[in-house]
Amino acid sequence: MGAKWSVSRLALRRARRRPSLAAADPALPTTAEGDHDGLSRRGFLATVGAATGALTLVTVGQSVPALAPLALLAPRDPRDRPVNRTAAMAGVELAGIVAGYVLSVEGRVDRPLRLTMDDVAALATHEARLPIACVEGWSFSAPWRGVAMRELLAMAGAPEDGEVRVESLEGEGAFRTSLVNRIQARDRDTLLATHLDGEVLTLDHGYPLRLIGPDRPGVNQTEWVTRLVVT
Amino acid sequence: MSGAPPGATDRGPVFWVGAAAGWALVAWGIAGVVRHRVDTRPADLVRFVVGGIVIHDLIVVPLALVVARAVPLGLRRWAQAALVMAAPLALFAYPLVQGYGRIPGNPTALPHNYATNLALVMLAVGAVVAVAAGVAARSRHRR
Repeated sequence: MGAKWSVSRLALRRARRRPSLAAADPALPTTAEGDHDGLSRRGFLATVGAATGALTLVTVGQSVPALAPLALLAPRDPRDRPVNRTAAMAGVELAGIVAGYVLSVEGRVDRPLRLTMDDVAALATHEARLPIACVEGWSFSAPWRGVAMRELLAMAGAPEDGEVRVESLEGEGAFRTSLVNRIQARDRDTLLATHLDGEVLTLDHGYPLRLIGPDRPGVNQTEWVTRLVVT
Repeated sequence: MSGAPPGATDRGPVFWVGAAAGWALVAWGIAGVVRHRVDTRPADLVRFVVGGIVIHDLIVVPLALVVARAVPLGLRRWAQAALVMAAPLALFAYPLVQGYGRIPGNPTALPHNYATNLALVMLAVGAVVAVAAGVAARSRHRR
């Protein structure tokens, strides 16, 4: 029985996929790596893997909230609700907003709208949890509250195929306007937000009204929105 | 394998076609850098490329040699592991420690004290490597 076992095992054993170096060529040493005191090849690979893991661990928290406490070398902390461009940099001042803020909806609409801050506040009942995802690599998801864009478009009698150009109070800059396509404009979660985390937006986060919608890069979540132009 | 002596390379047509294509790509890249010099800032690019080599050869390599001299032979592999882990972390942290990208009036940009954090990360790397070395030494002892 024992002999049978050993013979069968020998017969069934797969050929070694890679012959040893010495078997391939007698001139070669038995291992590719000579004796030395440094890291072995395997050790080096493991170390590079560990270094990659360590670098990931101390940065990935800038978009994975659960790991934010470990993100010691991350340029942003999602718990801070980061912004890149402050109101001061954009030349937007609180005094100017308080003086006479109006949100207008115009362009290809039947009934152009001009809404005051109180009008907007009365409409701002829709809530959605949406991320701001920056192309720089950080992101945070948070609960937002605001007016659904499709509700405003319906009020104004905008056509079904209308796209929306969202314009900011920001005087100049590459991102003072952004385009909301037909599909995004009708998404129930595309909001003109008044609140973040249950609190009124800060000026740096686009007070009094900012665009926040699904599937848009952070720079296109336009802040300090004052005009929607349907095209 | 051909019968070429060890160390010799076959330079057949594939090599030369590949080399020509590669050099053409390099030339195209350099031409692009020069043509768009307002955006690419060739002087900075040269500083980056040459600077990296100079820093590596004149600072990193001598430092590594000093470490190699200072560390007992049995610990050499662990010193290497610690350096291989520490170097990319330090390189990554350099602009953060320098404060590149800090935005005046914006506390959410570079919110941490990166010098302190880098020190913490370095300590952690040292601790992990020390523990790994200890574990390896013990298991070898037991065998």
